[in-house]
Amino acid sequence: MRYSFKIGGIHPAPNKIASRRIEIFPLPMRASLPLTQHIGAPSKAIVGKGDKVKRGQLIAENSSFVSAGLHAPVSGTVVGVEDIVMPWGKSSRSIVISATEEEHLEDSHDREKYWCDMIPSICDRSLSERLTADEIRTKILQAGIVGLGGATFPSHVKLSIKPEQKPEVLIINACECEPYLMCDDALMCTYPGRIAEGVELMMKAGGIPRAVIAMEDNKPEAAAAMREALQENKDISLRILKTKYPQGGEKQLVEAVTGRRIESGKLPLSVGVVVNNVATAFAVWQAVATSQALIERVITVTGDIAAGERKNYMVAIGTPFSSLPLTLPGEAIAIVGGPMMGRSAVRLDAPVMKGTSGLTVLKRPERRQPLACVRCGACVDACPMGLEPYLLSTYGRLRMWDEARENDVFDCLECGACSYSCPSDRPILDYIRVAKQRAKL
Amino acid sequence: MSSEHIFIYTLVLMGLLGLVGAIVLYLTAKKFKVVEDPRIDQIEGLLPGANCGACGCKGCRDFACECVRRGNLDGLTCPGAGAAAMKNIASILGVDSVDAARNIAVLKCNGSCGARPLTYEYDGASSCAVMDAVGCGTSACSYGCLGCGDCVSVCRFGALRIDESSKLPVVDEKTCTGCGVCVRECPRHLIELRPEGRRNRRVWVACSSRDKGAVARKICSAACIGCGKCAKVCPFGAIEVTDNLSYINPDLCKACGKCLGVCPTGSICATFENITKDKATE
Repeated sequence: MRYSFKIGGIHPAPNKIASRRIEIFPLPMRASLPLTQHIGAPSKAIVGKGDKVKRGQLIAENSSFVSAGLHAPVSGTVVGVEDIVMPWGKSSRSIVISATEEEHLEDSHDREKYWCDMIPSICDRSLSERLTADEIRTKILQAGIVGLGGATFPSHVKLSIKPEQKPEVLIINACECEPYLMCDDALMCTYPGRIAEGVELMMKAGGIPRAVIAMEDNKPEAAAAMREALQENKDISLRILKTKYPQGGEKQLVEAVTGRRIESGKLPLSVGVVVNNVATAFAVWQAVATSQALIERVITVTGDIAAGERKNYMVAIGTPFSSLPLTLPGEAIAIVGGPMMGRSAVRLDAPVMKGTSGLTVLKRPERRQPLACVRCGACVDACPMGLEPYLLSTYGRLRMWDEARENDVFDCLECGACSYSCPSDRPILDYIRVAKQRAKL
Repeated sequence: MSSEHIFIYTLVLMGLLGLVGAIVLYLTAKKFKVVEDPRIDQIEGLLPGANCGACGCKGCRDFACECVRRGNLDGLTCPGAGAAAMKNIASILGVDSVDAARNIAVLKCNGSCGARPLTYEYDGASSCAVMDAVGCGTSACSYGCLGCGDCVSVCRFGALRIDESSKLPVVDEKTCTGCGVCVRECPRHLIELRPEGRRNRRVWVACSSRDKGAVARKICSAACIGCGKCAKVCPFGAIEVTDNLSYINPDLCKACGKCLGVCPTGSICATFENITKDKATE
């Protein structure tokens, strides 16, 4: 029996067509690092124009508890703290670092050594036994680690659990239910042992007795690799789930793995569960075992039309998308993230951020004019939260914020299953998003 | 029984039933009569009936009830009704009328099609709120007007329309009541209520871009570049430049129009003819 969440869900074509190898992508000569790459208060820049920085050095610190630090992905000189245009066209305050030729060569050499020295498959348990929970949490905080699945919630906050909150199980989200994207898949195939160690460190840091790595059944290679790495380990188990979108949604995942439902407005911890992404586990291992801060991550460059090679790259945070080897034909659109939850990118000179999981290049879809809602209920059937998307969307369009609030608009996780399933091509999610923004006021 | 009898019986029976019903209704109406202040209806009659909510009440009827309940007009104004109607309401309540300056909405963006080239395509739902949520709109300016007319659709007085050539909303001074519904609707906060001003003279900066001068200028030729020339020339100290954007304080501005002549990008707008530099120095 394959596990899954019960209500709603859709089955878009998975299109996992990129290669599973991770290619180390060269460091950029110029990196821009937005100060808001995570949920919470923006980081505070502690370097100024003209300062020399080293690769891995802290350049912006936490401004409050729910915040994350930023580290220099390349050695070089700070050009300034200025507004940089994000992929979707809005600007954001960023630190810009420019490297010279020598610095670039030295960094590249160090980095090559770092990745070559890494033994991928052996799981060494001594590390998590040697360190205390506080030490691990401090390391996570110092490395500026945030949730790498896309929500970018600071990890040290998630793992600051009081014993009376009774955490029972740590779920490692390796579902990657978003079509096209394969960065987590590639990471699990390449560094399964390191991920397992990262999971152990997280369990120790949060005082969680048990962990479950959950993935969809369309990743047999990754499952085999993880199973081998976890052979000796009794506390971490593997759970294969049905391929169904959005299996990786936090509440859906908790339901699929434990059968528990999280109440509206509550956190997974209310049912004794902590959810973290698999890439975050790897980043935690990097931070604790190799003292490398979160300065690079795996992203998938993929799509359905000629977009160079479809590959997974280990790129430094702050690398501009335009330096990736891809050509964009005129009839193509680029999406930062996957096609379901990603955002359309209009500026490819924007940098890769901590929460960027990929770049998807798709053939421009023919947009049909939205027709009238026929009350077929397809969106209601598709909604994984059991909401009535057509109704919430109408409230958003008619500016009925109170009614939207009463109908639990804040439970919406913006997965897009409603817009995907609508036979009338109505922009359902767009208006729900508006309602979510305005109903807060 | 002949048909005549049936007719008479029916008439009598129905008549009696009707009479009993009427008596019951009369007595009930007497018993449960609600005495309502007649002034509420009078005041409601003077209000525009748009239920815009600018006064802070739930609607025009609620505003009228509130006026009568308080017995004065402290903190209660209906911008939609206008000064004359407010005076009448004050006289109904038997209090002195408060003179409130009339406010008119102005658009703090001048990025017409000519000034701001369209760089991106947008094929989503035709709504500014949706457009703002997914990106920066069709031009590179992430501060300016999106032109889908959310403000037009919420205006209860028909005072806004989208201009065909510039694709920007235009405020009709005569019908705008300054209720402020459009101010709350605009996702980019581009509409401001400014006092009508003496002899209907108003000056404002028609730009909201906080980009650095060079960047802003590249994106839109009508952008405020924060050069500060207007602030220097203003004899009343009404202009301040913060975050590369100039702002004219309506309380200090005397609408002399000197700033209009010095603005290099023409981002300052006025309701009167521009005094040229030469004339001002003459």
